[in-house]
Order: sequence, then structure tokens, then C-alpha cells
Amino acid sequence: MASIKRQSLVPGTLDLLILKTLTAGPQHGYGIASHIKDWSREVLQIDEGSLYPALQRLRQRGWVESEWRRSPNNQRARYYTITAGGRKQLGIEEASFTETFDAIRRVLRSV
Amino acid sequence: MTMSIRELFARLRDRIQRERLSEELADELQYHRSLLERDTPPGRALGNATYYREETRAMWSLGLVDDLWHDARYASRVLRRDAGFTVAVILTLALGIGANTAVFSIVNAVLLRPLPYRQPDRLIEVSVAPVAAPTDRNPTSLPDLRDWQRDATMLDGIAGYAFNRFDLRGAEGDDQARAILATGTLYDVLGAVPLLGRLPRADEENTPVVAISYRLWQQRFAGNPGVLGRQLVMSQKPYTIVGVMPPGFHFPGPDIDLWSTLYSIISSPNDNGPNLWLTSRSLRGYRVLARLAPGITAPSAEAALNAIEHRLAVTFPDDDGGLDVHVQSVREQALSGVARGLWTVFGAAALILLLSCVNVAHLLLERTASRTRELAVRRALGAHRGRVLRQLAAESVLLGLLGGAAGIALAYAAMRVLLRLAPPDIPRLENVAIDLPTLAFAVTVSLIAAALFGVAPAIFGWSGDVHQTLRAQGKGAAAGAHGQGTRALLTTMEVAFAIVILIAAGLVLRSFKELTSSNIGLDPEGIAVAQLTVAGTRYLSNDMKTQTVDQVLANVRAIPGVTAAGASTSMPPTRIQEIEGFSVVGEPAPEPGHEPTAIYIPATPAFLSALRIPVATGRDFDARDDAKATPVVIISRELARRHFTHVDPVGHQLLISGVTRMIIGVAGDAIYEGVGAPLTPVVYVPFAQSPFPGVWLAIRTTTAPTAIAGQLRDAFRRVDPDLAVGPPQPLDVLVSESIVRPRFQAWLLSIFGALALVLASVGIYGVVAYGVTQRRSELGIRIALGAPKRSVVSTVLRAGMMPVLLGLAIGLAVAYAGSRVLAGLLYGVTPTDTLTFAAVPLVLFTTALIAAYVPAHRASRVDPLIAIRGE
Repeated sequence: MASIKRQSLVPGTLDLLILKTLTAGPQHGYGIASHIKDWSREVLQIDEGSLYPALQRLRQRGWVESEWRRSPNNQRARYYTITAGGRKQLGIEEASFTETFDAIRRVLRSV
Repeated sequence: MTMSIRELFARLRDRIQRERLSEELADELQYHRSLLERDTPPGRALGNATYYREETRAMWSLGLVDDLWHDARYASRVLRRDAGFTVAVILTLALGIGANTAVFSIVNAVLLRPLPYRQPDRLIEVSVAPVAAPTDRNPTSLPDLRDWQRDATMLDGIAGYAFNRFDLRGAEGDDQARAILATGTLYDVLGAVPLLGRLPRADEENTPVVAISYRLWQQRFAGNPGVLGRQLVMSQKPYTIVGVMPPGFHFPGPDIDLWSTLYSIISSPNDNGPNLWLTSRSLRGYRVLARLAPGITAPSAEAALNAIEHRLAVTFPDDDGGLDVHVQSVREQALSGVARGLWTVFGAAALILLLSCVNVAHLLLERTASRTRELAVRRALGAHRGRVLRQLAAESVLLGLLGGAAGIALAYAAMRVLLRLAPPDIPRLENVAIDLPTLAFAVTVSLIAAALFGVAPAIFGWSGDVHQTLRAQGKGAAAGAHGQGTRALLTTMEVAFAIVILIAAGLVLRSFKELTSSNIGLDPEGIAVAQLTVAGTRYLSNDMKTQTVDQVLANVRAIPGVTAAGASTSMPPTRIQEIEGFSVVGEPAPEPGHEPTAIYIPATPAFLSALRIPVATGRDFDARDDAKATPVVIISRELARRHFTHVDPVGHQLLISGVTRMIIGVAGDAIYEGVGAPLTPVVYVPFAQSPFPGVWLAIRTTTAPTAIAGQLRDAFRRVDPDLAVGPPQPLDVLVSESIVRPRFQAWLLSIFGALALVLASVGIYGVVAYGVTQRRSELGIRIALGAPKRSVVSTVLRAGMMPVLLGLAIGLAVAYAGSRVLAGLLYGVTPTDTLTFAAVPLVLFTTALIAAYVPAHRASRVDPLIAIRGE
């Protein structure tokens, strides 16, 4: 689903990362990609072919909303905002991810 | 991936406003790209922007639906671009699908749709037949029927019905109509649903009530729903109309317009006592309908009825001895004779469809061959093989559906012609329509056709080897060996299909020719046929019946132009009033159930001479043969052949229905059981010695038979103002109408045969012509090297005709093996008729040869220089 340079992403986590990023405030597509890249120390790089389909999907599911605004450099850009439903979904996915991740780590330490 | 309803709606909404979203996305991606370029060190790849956009756009699509829509749009563009090809395919398909749709609409209405009765498959027709002649099915008598009814526990009801003809008088005009006179339970057993009102009830057996047909309702009452409760005067007696039956209700045949009770029989007592048709066990005038009880099969009901009948034979050996009971499903009985012909025509139509599919497959194959480069390029650009095949399939389906639409239009036009020419005695023909089942059939057939002809190019036409195709630079990639083989296979199939259709058409045509030239034993030209009914209280006495018929005939003979007139109770070609058993006096009496039978025809003097049925030995009836004179009989030549092989029958005696009669003459064999039916013995007796309430008049006139209608009415009315007469019918028309069914079949199969010939020759021409195009350079080189034209022609012809010969052989073998199914349809021709099996392959071979010669000849005139450079 998501094709990531350098490091492949655990399936389904792209939505989680986008929603989490948006909790910091409205952001445009490039901003979201940059945020993920920076905070992952450039391990996770998301191209447009993964990012924008994901954003469309989140919008269709009602978890994000978008509006056109002026960016700081005075260009027209589309900003995405997380909705209440999106926050709820984020809670679910974060919990589920943490649980799964802890489980995997326990197994990896087991032998 | 599962999708919530909410998400699905969001997708649909996005799909609708895709254009706007797409523009926004372009802006968004451009902004992204500009920032990315600003932040990325020079020299690093940024990825394919178009690809990213397509990936995102996919989020607004509806998946498969959108893909199919795209395929269809692309296909329609491709087909529009190649209009000549598309039109050729659609026309070819329209012929095949149209023929099938038209024939299916008839097959569906007549054969497939359930009969309009409750649980029709539980209904059986019960009849009796002499032990020695099990196919000689007869109705039964009312007392026998009552006995069956009392004892038959395995039946959910059993009922009898007789036929009668009534004069209809009234403000709506004079008319005659055929009626069913039924015992009380008939309409309960039948379980039919009237359009209006009801059918006569079980307690109305002796009540003058009647249900009328849709046709009569429309004709006589203009479809007025207020007709219920009105009076209908039937042969001078008023009946109450209690119901109207729906169109297509034809119990038991399409010529019945009235469904009534036994009232008309019960209310017509004989000279001394009740009507004999109610009390006599020897008057077998009632056909029997029964409904099987749940869990009972037809054979077990037959066995049980036979047990009852054989018990009756002990009590009434004269009337019930030597008889077996037979049961037949009503469906079988209603459709016997029709089904085989219709299925044959349907089979021919199906073969026409296969033929057109083969032709279209070849057209597609050629076209795919010329498109190999386009397809290879699409694959080189990354289209999956499956994706390209789906595109080809979409084109086939689109062609199939377009052909189907054209076919439905063609069927609609063809059906109007068919219905005008179709025999009126085919039941339920008025239900034939391009209705929903027919449309569903047409669409299904179109899709099946698309699958059939679409498979060829998908499998053979395109190997899918991109590199080889692109390297070949369009040098006719499909000219490879297997392309050639495929086309030969198509030709073989085509010829095989065509020959099967043509053999069937040839046999049916030959049979029809035999039928029309068969001897009917009389001269129908210039004969007017009319009916005279002398029933009712005024005509109770036999003398009165005889006198009235004589007076009417005297008046008719006085009409200017009339040269002869006579009357009898039966009329060629198909009207038989009565069949009786007989024995030759002086010969040992036959066993019960083994008596010979003859058509029993009371006739007036001049009946035979008016029809020009010759009395070869002895004499015709004359005025001497009245009620008091010695009982006499004229036998037919067929009866003489069977029973008086070595002696002159004149002077011998026959015992017929209890009367000993002296044979005074031998008449020629005239047909009473239809044109082409095997001859059966006939006995003519003087009408005065065996009067009957209804006769047919045979009137020979020098004017047109229909022109005497007015004078005929006067001739009747001057005898009795209440005597009704319908319009006189020309006998030659009746004869030709009686073979309308074989004529219809011959006509339909001829059309299909002609279609098959055209389709096959077009197909063969196409294959050979294409082969020549493919081999142009090779042929050019041969000519350049000095090959004579003759050898070029024969090379091409040989290649073209080999598969034709193979197809001929296969088709002939199939036709020979399968022609047996036609046996029941043929008259005077065996299913393996030598002439047909010799002529048809010759015709097809010659046609194929011409179709192949035209391109072969053209090939021999190829200019070698142009041919070689042309590549």
C-alpha cells in the first residue's frame, strides 16, 4: 500500500502517522510528509503517490477535513485538519498499534 | 477491503465531482512539487508526477465499474474508427440473433409457457382404442364416463366434453361458432381463470349458461365488460353469458369460442325419450379430461382406468368389449404436431446464429491481426496481458450487444411477417410478442455469441509475444501457420453448419412439393362450401331433416352459375363427422376390438358428382334411395382394396352400425383426414337413410365461390327464415389452408437455407481473399519466376477448398445421422432422401467454388513488382 523509501512502513500505519501529525494543528500535504520525515530522522520518506491517496481516503472516511488557505510564503495550499471522528480513530489505532508493537517486541526478546 | 456505507457514498460523491477534484489535486501536487524541488539537492530523482496523480485519482473511482466503463468507451471509439468493419459485423449478427429471437418468441409463447390451467402437468386426456389398433384413439360414451367417474379414486376429478357448432343470431349479425358442451365437473377439473366472470359451475349441467372467448367478446361485443349476464342466442335458444376467457385460452383447440354445459343436448330429446347421446354406450361422443390425484402417475391412472373398463366389458360386451383405455398428458396432446416442427425451425435458427458467429470470428481475427502492432505497443507501455484481453473482450461484448439490438429490431419486423403467414391452428399464437422473456433471450444470445466469436481472436489472433511482434514490423504477424489453421477450421465449421441447415431445408421443401402434388381425389376448383344446421324442435323428425336439406339444395341449384350441389356430413380436406366399425356380411365376425372402421358419411345424391369424386363401378345415389328403400352403401376404392381383393364388391353387403347395406358402387378415394394423410376406408350412405342435424354443402359454380353469398342466404331463408348460413368458403382455399403448417415450415426453412448459403459463401470468400492478401508477396515471386496463372489459381483454390471439402464431409455425416428427427415432418420423402443428399452438397460446393474462385483469380493477376515491394 504505502511505498516508503529506505524503510518500509508497517501496513496501516501511514493513516496513524498522518492523523498524529495533524493533532499538532492544520498542515498541508508537503508539511505532513516533512514532519514525518524529520521526526523519523529521515527513515520514513513518504512520496506523493502514497500520501495523497491516503489523504483522500481519510477525507472520505470523515477523519480529516481540508480547506484552501494562504501559506506563509503567500501561496495557495490545501490544509488538512483532523476531525473529532479522526481523533477518536487515532485513539483506537494508537492503542492498537502500541499493543501490537509491544506484543511483537516481547516475541522478539523471547529466544 | 471492506468499505463502510459512508465511505461508499463519499466515493460516489467524489466520482461525480471528479473533474473539480482533479483540478484541485493538480494545484496541490504542483505546490508539493515546488516545495520538494526547493528542499531537494539537485540531481536526486523526484519520482513520476503523472503516476502519483493517477494513484490519487484512483481514490475517486468506482473500481471495476469505472474500468468497464472505460473499456466500453475505448471499444466504442475503436469501433467507430473502423465503421465498415463494425457495420459488417452488426449486420451479420443481426441476421443470426434476429432469426433466433423471432423464432424464440414463437417457441416461448407456444411451447414453453405453461398452459393456462391450474397445475397443467397433472391434467390428462383419457381415450379408448381397440386392442388391435392402439393408435386409433376414440372418445367415450357418457354412461361409460359416469362409470369411470364413480370408480376412479386415483383421479382428482374427471369430466367429459363434446363439440358442437351453433348459429349465433342477433343485432350483432349472424355468425357460427364452435362450442364445448361439458359435464358439470369439467371446468373444476380444468382450473382455468376467466378474464371476466366465471365458467359454468358443476350444478349447472342442465342450465343454459356459456363463457365466451376473448375473440368473440371483441368481435361481437366490442370488448364491453357489461356483457356478463346478457343473453346470447345460440341456435335459437337463449344462453346467459357468465364469463369471458382470456386471450390464448384454447381449450381444447384454437377454434373453440364457446364453453357451455350439456344443456343443449339434454334439452333436445329424441323422437321417443331422452337424447341418445346421454344414454347410449355406443355413441362415443365425449372426450375425457382428468386430473391426477397427488402422488399418482399417468401410467398407474391408466392401469386403474383399464381395470374399470375391462369390468364394464363383462357387463356390456357389445359396447365396451375389446377396448383399452389410454391416457396422454394434455400438454403433449395440445402440442403434438406443433412441437417437432417448431423445434426444427428453432434448431435451424440456432445454426444460422453459429454461422454468423463464425463469420464474425473471422472478421475479428483479420482485424486483430492487423492490430497486433497496436496491441503490442500497449503491452510494451505496460498494459497487462489480461488488461489487453479484457479490452478485446469489451469490444466483442459491445459488438454482440449492438448486433443484438439490431437483431431485436429485425426480429420485430420479421415477427409481423411470420405471424401473418403462420398457420392459425397453432395454439396460443396470439401470445407471441417481443416480450420480456424474449428480450432476455436476445440479450443472452448476444452475449453467448460475443463469447463465441470473441474467443477466436483472443486465443489465436494474438500470441502476445511483444518483442517478436514489434520486430516483425507489421509484416502480418498472424499469417503464421496457426493463423492459417484457425481460418481453415472456421471454414470447415461454416460449411458443416450450412450443410445441415440446407439438408433440412431441402428435405422439407421436397416433402412440401410432394404434398402439393399429391392426389386429393376430387376437384376443389370452383366449389363453394357452406354449412346447414337443421337442429331444434322443428327438425326433430328425420323426414323433416331430409326434406329441408333437399329443399335448400333445390333452391341452391337454381342460383345462376351453380352447376351442381350436394350435401354430406363430412367435407374434404379435414372435416370428419363420424367413424363407424363395419363387417362384411358372409365373412366370419371379427373379434371385439378388431373390427375394421370406416369414415361414415351420409350424403345426398349429387354430392360425389359435385366434387367430381368418380364412381368408377356401380352407380351414384339418386332419388330412389329414400328412407323406405333398400339400405345401400357406396364404398371407397381403399375399402374395396382391403376387403374385396379379387371380387367386384357391387352386390355384396356390409353391416354398419346395426344396418345391413347393399354395396351399389365404388367411389374414388377422396381425402378426409388431410392432405398427405394415409388413405382410410370410407362408406357413403344415402342421407335420407341416415339423416343428421348438420351438413356441409358442396356447391359447384361457374362464378367465384364467394360471389354467391347473398343468393345462398335467400336459398336458405326461403325454406325457413331461421336457417342461418355463414359466408361460403372456396374449397381450394380450404385445401391450401389445410397444408399451411407444412407450407410455413417449408417457407421458413427455405429462408434459413438461403441465409445459410449467403453467410457461408461470404465467409468462404472472406477467408480465401484474406489468405491471398497474406500470400501476395509469395504469389508475386511465383509469378515472377514464371508460374502460369493457372497454377496460381489452383494453388489458392486448393488451399481454400480443402477445408470446404472437410466441412462437406462432416456436415453430411451429421445431417445423415440427425435427419431422423425430421421423419415426422416429412411426406413422401425419406429422411435420407438421395436426391437431397446429392443436390445440396453440389449446390454448396459450387457456391463455395465461386466464392473461392473470385479471390483466386484476382491472385493470379497480382503484379509481381507491386506485390513484392508492397511489403
